[in-house]
Amino acid sequence: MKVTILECRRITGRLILFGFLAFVLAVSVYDSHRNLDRYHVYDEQGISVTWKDNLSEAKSASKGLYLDKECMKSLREDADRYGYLNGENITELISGNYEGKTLEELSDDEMDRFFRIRAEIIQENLVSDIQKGYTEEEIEEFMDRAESLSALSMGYAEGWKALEETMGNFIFLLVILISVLILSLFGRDPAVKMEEMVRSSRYGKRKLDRARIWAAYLTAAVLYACSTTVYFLIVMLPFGFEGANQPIQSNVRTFFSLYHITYLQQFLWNLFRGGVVLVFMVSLALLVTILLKNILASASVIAIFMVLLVIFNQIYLYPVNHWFTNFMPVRMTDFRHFYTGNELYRICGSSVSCMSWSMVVSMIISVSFLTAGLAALHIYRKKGLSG
Amino acid sequence: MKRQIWMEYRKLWNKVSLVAVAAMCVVAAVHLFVYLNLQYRSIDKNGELVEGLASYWALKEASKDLEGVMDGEYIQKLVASYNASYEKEYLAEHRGFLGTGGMTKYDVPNYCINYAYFGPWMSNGNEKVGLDYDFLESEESFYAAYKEAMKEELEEDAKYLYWGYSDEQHLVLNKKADNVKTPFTTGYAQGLFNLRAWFILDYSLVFFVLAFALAGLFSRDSAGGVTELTLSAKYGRKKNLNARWMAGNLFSASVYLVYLAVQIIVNGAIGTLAGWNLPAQMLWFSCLHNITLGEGLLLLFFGGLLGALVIGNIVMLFSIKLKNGKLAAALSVIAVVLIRRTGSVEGLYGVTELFSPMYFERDSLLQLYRFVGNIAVPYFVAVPVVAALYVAVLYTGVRLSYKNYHIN
Repeated sequence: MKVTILECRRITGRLILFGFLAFVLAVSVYDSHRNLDRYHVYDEQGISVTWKDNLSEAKSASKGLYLDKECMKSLREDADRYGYLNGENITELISGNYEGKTLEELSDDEMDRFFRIRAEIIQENLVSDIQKGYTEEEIEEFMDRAESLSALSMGYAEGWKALEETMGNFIFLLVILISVLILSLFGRDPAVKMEEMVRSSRYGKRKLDRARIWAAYLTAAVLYACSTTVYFLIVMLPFGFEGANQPIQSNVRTFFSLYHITYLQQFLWNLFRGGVVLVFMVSLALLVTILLKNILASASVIAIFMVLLVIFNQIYLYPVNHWFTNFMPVRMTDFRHFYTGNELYRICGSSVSCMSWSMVVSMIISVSFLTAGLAALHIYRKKGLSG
Repeated sequence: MKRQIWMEYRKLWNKVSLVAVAAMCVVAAVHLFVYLNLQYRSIDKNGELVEGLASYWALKEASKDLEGVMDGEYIQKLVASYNASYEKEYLAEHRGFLGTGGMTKYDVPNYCINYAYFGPWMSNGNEKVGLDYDFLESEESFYAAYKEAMKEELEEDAKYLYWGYSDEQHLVLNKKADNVKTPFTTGYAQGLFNLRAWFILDYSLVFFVLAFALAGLFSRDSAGGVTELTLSAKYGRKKNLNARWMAGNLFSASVYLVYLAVQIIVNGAIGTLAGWNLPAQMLWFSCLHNITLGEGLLLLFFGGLLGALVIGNIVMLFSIKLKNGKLAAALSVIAVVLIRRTGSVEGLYGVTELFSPMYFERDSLLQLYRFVGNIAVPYFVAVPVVAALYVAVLYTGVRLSYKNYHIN
């Protein structure tokens, strides 16, 4: 354990920690600022209502607000009834549900059938999706879930929506940065020739290798937990923490999602998914440095692999996403498509959602990377290679 | 000096750069094979749908019927042939075919003709291959319409250009449009179309390789970096650092050429390089230069070389200023990521294309102009001037650090 802690400290020197913290703070503040910017209301003279006023008005006006016929009717009579922001949110949902129609154009019957129409759109999308080729049972199961939504609470949850908007990108950057720190564990610095000494110790070799692997995951986990906490607090503080128990369907981006969960659950799922990506990247970084031994060479392989994922993401091609990029860091941290894509994998006769299967596959790949890394270390030890 | 440059150049091909270059080649080739195989399909000469990599050869075979000079007679024959074709029927039934990687032998000539109608709003898709236009009655009316479309696109484009064009400048450009050589020759060039697209798409890989490979050139912590010995010779110091800079540039060019070779070889093998002698307008509809498709691509490749040299020099500057290989690599990667994203800054259309190395290999080289008085300077002339300025400034930065280089 002592060696593990020593190794942890070796890769997180004061300067590195300072740089890391600066990065986390900079991205958090930038994202928070960018999110708040969207809540200013503009007119010809510039900002007419600041985010602060906009949000506090929305907070007080959304208590006990449900999107139903009564709400739509009263909003039609008085556009400012629920404040500017709530009005905008409701209008966006209505436009999404009624395919571009405005509140004024809706008939009484259409208002009554709000959730029925939502289910019909979902069904239409499922049936017309030839690429995914859903079976009848699968559609039926999806439709059961779609139809189970019969009331939609529109309580204030802007902080959680903002968090969902930017969190994926932050976690992606964070995970890359952490994996870069890991590189120096097994990577050898040509200026520090310690390798020969380590290899000449009788009992230390195996112990050190193990300690370094523990150190990698331990450091990564601690940095991940601390950074996401800092990010969460900085992004959420200006908005307030209200709305954790609101349904994610009240956000126009996940309105058609078939996961009937709350914003808090969504955040925890995303956090966990980020953790899976972290394990993947740390395992990859370990394997690459164990094999290549050189820090810069390893970093270049990881960087070019990331570029590959980014350029694969530029052109949407279903088979590539389905069989490869869904399990890789770029799309794994692009959280939203897991909630709205309804992608399925047919495993041993049963349909498994992309949400869970991508994590299973990602973990399997991580374990394979780690096993390969351990095997390589074992071979090096047996053969006494110092590389 | 030559020998010293050669020695420094050889030192640059170390483990880091070999690994990075190998990774770049694998990624570029895999990207091409996977996407060209999965995305594309074509209708062959027997009216059968061919999918995957074989679709290019099938298309090439089928396109032989339609090769030729697009004069009046050709256009009449084309209209008759298209109206009676299986392709037209197929496209009517499969609305999304052309927009999703589908190809037919009619694409190249028909798109060219449709440009004369749609002008700035031209794109690919089933609704933009029809031949039901009055201007197709004669060769003259078609090319007159085509040149009008070019002028219209120039005008539309100028609305978004940061510095726009004045009325007089528009006249200069319109005159160039009138002087475009017609009639065009048409034929198969899908391999070259793919080459252009993928060359641009994956170009930034070169930057990432340079960021890692050149970061250690002037560092004091890497195996091939600067040591006490390098600095101890009275006259050798300057000479050696100069040789390193030259080698760095040579290396940047080499990495770029390796990338280009991968693109040309893989695209050549999949879609062939046929069509290089067609006019540039077959690919860049609004191109005002009387050059061939092959020459147009060579200009893009030349622009790419300049971009690689500029990035190489940025990395070298980081390397000599920071003297730490890892730190220089990290900063270079950040710089490359930022440069890669320069296109997302809004409202700078025309400026980004001229000043961002990420855009030195784009179509803007052939399509945009910067005016000096009333002389239209195409971007393929302006960009090399900007690149030379960049390199001169960066080289001065490197030189300034020569004298003050200390190991401790």
